[in-house]
Amino acid sequence: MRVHGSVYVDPEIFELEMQRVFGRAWVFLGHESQACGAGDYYATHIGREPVMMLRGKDGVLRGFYNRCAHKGAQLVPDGAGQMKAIRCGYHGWIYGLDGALRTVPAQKGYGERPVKPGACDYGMAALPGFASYRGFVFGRLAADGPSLEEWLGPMAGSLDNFVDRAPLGEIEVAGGVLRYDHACNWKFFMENTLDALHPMVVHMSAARPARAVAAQLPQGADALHFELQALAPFSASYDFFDEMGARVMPHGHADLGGKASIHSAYAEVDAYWRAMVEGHGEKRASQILSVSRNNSIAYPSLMLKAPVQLLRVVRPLAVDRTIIETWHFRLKGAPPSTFQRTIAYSTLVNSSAGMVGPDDHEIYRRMQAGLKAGQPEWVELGRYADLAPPGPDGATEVPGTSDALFRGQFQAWLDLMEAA
Amino acid sequence: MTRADLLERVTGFLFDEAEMLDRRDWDSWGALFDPEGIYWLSARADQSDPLEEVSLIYDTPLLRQIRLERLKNDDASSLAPGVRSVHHVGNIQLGPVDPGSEDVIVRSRLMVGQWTPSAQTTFHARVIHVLSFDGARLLIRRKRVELLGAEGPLGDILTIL
Repeated sequence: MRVHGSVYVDPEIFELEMQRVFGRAWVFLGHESQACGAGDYYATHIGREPVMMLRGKDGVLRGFYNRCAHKGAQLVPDGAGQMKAIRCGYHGWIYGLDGALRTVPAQKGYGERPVKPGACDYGMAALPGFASYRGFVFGRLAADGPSLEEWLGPMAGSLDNFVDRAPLGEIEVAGGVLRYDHACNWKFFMENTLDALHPMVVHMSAARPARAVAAQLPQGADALHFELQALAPFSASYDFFDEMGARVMPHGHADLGGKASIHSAYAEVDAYWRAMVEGHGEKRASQILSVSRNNSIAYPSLMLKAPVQLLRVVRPLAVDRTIIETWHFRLKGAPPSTFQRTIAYSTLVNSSAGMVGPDDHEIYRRMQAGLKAGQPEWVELGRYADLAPPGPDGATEVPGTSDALFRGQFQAWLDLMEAA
Repeated sequence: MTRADLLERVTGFLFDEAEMLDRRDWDSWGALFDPEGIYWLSARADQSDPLEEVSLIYDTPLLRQIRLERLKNDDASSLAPGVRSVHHVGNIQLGPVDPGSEDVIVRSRLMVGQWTPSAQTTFHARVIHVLSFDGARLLIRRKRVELLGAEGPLGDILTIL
């Protein structure tokens, strides 16, 4: 149970990953709330390819490559925006909000072909795969493969829990975005979010000062400061992380935490609980909130933190360069303090100037450097080698510090890399 | 105090602050703040709300205490290799003086070179200090730093800007 170190540092393997992992998997694009009205778009990437989701006049959200069918200029800038029609800034080709070509200046020189407004073969190229699950939108560059729901499998339950935490059962993107430039391979981030053997080492530097400051406060006063509750559990014990449990799922998906998480000891907000009871009923509300996961992974590029209502997306640029975006969600029907916690947490932890993120980044940098060593060739993945059999939903329960979480990612990686 | 005297006074204050940050004299820098003073490094140029929109840093006095403790320890992996900075402060302007308020508003431009063994980075920012007199001493009630390119992608910011 080991993986060869070259998978993190070899540029040729990275090229293959872009073709085969990001070229074949369902990849998270964004949330439906990022493009609510006709003409709203959100432009992002699948691997290195520019893509967008665009809401038509008919209210349908569609996925396209972000490239003019003519000479190839990117049609809309990255990020969110609004257009009446999509007009290429180079030669003025205009596409409707359904992606069909509408007008071409000086058309007569083209004769009947190849361009003809309304002819769908010269519209914006549609993404071969485009689907959403409970508002989370995914795209796929390959035409063939499992449906999104088949791909997600039991991971859909983790997306459900994210949304069900809204008293009104709906969420929306809000509160800005953080974009953090990392000098490392994308897989370090995807693994680290499931790595429960590092917080007490890497994040003691944030947890210890938080605990020291909390200790100076009058007894019980630390509960008034969400930030102290957010930072202190980063130094929780190995036993705590083991016992909170984890799930390994098909296609590389996983949850770290479940029975508990570093977020479970946050002081409850009464107004939120009351809103949840009103929205879902007491039994269902307590069922939803009894699940507390540190992080959930929808492989290969999405990490969800349901108890804090944020997600992080990996965008690989090169074998040793990755952008990590953090997006935040407002739970409809929740009091303002719930969203303020989300924002406070992200500012503290996920920012380029935060007290947690830069320390992870430095470790990824050391991994990127260390793995260039020729010996030993292999990276160890054998912790908790023996697994219980998977449950009926295909998910396997493992201790929180099990390497099975990483083995699951590499199994999915291998399946994609080796597929015909 | 004339406006010219006040400008000279706040200019000296900003230069002293830059010196403390470059010497990584965190205790002295922390002592420049009013007991309720806020430090805000926004994540967007026109950001108006630090509570419902994410920031790069939004430090209340409690968080500043934690942050400065962390900076003083040498156990953070990102700080262990060594971090140095050079703060340049310029274009210092006194804002309008509100006769009903004790606050002194100061606008400035900031350029910071940050060096670590793996990267050298330059940050550019517009800064607003809201200062007030505590007797003869000036204190920071609020410091807002608007970083050029705060929207990212941004690498590590390991110094206080």
